[in-house]
Amino acid sequence: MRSTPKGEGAGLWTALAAPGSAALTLFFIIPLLLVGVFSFGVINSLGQPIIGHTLDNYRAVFQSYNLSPLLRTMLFTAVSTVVCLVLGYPVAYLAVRYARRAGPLILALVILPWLVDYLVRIYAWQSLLAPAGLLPTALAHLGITAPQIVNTSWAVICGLVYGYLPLMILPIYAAVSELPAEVIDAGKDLYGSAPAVFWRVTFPLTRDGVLGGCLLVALPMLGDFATAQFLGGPNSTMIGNMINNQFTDAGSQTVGAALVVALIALLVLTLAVAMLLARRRVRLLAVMAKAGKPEPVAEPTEMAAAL
Amino acid sequence: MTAAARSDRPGNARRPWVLWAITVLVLALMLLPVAVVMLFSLNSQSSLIVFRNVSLTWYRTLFHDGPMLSSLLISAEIAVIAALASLLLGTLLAFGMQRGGRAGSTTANGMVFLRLVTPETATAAALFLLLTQMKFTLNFWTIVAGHVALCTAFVAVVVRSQLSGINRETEYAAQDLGARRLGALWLVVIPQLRATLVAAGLLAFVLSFDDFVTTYFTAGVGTQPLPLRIYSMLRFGVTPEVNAAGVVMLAMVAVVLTATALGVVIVRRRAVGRTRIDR
Amino acid sequence: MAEPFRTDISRRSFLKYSAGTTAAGAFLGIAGCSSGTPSSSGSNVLKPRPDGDITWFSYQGYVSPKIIAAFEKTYKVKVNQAFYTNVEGMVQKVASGISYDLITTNSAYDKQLIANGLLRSFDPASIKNFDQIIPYFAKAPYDDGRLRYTTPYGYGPAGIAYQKGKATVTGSWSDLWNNPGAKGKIYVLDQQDETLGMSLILDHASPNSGQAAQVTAAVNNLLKLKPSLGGISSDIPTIMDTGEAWMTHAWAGSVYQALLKLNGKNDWDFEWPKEGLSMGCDTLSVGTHAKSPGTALLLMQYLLEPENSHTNTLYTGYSNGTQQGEAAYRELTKAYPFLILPDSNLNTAQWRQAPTGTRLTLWNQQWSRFIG
Repeated sequence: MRSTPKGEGAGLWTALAAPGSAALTLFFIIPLLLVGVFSFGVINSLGQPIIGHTLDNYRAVFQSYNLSPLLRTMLFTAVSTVVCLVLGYPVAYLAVRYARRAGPLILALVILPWLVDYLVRIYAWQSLLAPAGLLPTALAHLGITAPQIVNTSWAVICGLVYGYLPLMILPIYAAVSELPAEVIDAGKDLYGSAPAVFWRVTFPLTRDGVLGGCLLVALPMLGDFATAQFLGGPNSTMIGNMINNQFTDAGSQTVGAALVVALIALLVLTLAVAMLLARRRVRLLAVMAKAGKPEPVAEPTEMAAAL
Repeated sequence: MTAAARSDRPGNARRPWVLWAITVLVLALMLLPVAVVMLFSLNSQSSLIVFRNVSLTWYRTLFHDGPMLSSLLISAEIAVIAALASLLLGTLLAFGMQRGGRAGSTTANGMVFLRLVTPETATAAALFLLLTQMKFTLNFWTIVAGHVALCTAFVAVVVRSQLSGINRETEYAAQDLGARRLGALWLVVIPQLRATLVAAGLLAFVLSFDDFVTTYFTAGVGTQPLPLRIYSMLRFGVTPEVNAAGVVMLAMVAVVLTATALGVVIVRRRAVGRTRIDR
Repeated sequence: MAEPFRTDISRRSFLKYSAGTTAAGAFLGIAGCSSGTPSSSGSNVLKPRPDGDITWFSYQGYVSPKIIAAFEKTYKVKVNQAFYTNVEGMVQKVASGISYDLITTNSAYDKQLIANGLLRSFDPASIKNFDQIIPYFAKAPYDDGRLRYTTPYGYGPAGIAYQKGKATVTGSWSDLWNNPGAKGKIYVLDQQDETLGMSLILDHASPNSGQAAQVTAAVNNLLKLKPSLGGISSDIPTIMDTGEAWMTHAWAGSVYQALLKLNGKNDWDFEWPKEGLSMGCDTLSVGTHAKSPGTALLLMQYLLEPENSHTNTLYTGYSNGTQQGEAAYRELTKAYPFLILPDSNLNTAQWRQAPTGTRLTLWNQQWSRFIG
């Protein structure tokens, strides 16, 4: 929902955003363009990319061995994002509404573990869950043989959730903290049961937070490689690993560039389709309303107009 | 009244035990590895997997390891600067995303989306090529620049999540009373965003402190930030000295945050005390 | 193939080549003889002497801190360290012209780095203790033929480590394939050149093969192995410590590190497969863009000293190819004699060469096929 009413000059806000946009342009957009250019390039004897005009890199991208990591990544990401949402929303909500002074403390406890290096925390999980680790050893004393936990796809999904949960919690916290309490109370009077209040009042009002959380979690997760590298088995390779290999591992940076361009194109396409469908649904709703049919619950206008 | 203020009212008796259960579970999930890290920092042998005896040897090693401490310090310095810069730029960018006109907000939103979706390795490698081709010497500031370009997008999304829900009535009221738009922004909106801004700043700090990929590609011959040192240890074995460094850093930040929070509480109490009207 | 992507070819590098020719004369002929022959531009002959602080681009934990401290104290210079995580990353950063003084390079990439003017040559005669290097590394087939750019720093081929009683071995690389009882507990290295090279050697092909048929067949074999794998990892100490691995393709030095941590729980053994090994060696070189090349060369010389070679080998677990380094390696493997590399294996080992051009494309595709 855009909160600039008609008539107010949006120019001020765009101008305010300029420094941030400039920083992103200089240190991100221009390198990204370079990536696009190099996706058609070749590499020299030192492995450095050179400008060229070949499609070989894209031919290397559209191979079957890139397909299963891609599909796997989409599955892992979808599952992990949903789990992050299911776990993260309650935490954010509670931190704002019920934890009072402890709210900021809860946030701090969620964010601060990142001060300990990622690798070290992964080793901590290994020391807990690996075959010779604390948990299986303890279970063995009780006579239970634990199944293999690490180096599986489940370990990767759990690792992804663990790694990205704080990124889901923060935007939702931000959105919930702006939630007017009177509206929730009015909802309670109107709908009675807590789930109904949640779905019809709370959730729609915090939609931007949920969307923000999902973006901060799902998008970077698509390029994640560290989790699969340290917690995954041979069949948990994600597309991020394939990409990272090309840039750092006796691969070809130009193929890596092509992979990145293909991935971005795929996601932009998905987004475009989603927005198109959302707009179509808006029109459908309008038509249904005119025809006197009851409106479905949530309004997708915000989603469509959000970007 | 916002939800936060409302929750202080007595009578909100029903405790949402499901929410608390999930919160406790999540906090346990976040803190369990940290506890293990602390445990292994006291390991008497160099394994991060198998614990032997309690010993302070790794803390001793850490405090005698000048280069490791320098790495810790430089990472913290970079993180502070990058966090402040990306907090500022990201917040302003959020305004553009939320309130900019069609062109402005689409550009801002698009850039943030692209930033989040592009794998970090690709951006970092390209930035590296760009900088070195243009004969820039890679140093402290190129690392900061790389981190700012990364964290700004995250800050922008977090701030925007609250921004879109903000009721602009108070802002307009301030403007009616004579404040200009930027003044109203400063007087009305920023205070409302305060908690989110602190959280976003903290997020940017830890993102920068823990970052490896961008750091590797923007670092030159200067003091190497901590993650570079740690990932490089993979080849010959990561030792619990790294755990000790993590614990020390955690302790330092916890102390700073607690001191700040206490300071804020004390200042507030004094202010309230001065203006307290007899009840 | 397009031209090398040179960022900054200075006059210095060109002059170095002419100076090097005269130095080569001294090297080829009379060892130990000081360079009485004046070079055409004497100032560019690299001599080991303290001329400022240096930055050493290497792995973390690859040198004993005591040695660095002693060096700094003796010569009153500071040694800063910069880090990389793998060799290809090192090549990228060195190639971009960053002014590293001393670089831990790798035998597989030395020829490329030299050909692109990224390393400085030196006169071995001007380095004390150069004669400490054992003949195997004094020949240095990975270095430039005429001039000398590197000293050996750490070498250790990969073999197979396995837990006794949990895996059966016959002294062959195919043991990895022939242990159905260890399914899910077998690991191979995640380094392309090692693992793909290993599969090629098993097929009696060269580990540097660029022939599509051979490489494809090697990867087909690896794909047959994949269902039994627990993972593809180079973090040997961790997978051995955590009980994840019963059998793994591993470097001897890493196994040594792992065994130290397992302290005593010694049911691990190691074999050097009979089909052959692929060889690689970390080497030290002075970078072309070094600000203090003299100090860098001085540190190279310092590390070759018998005492320092001994200490460093005991610290890292990898011999640096000098007499004392070898002696130290034999010492530290006394408890684990299976880690010693017999000369027969050493002499038949084939040096790995980094892939370029069509071979790189081929290997890249095939490796992606394996891990994807």
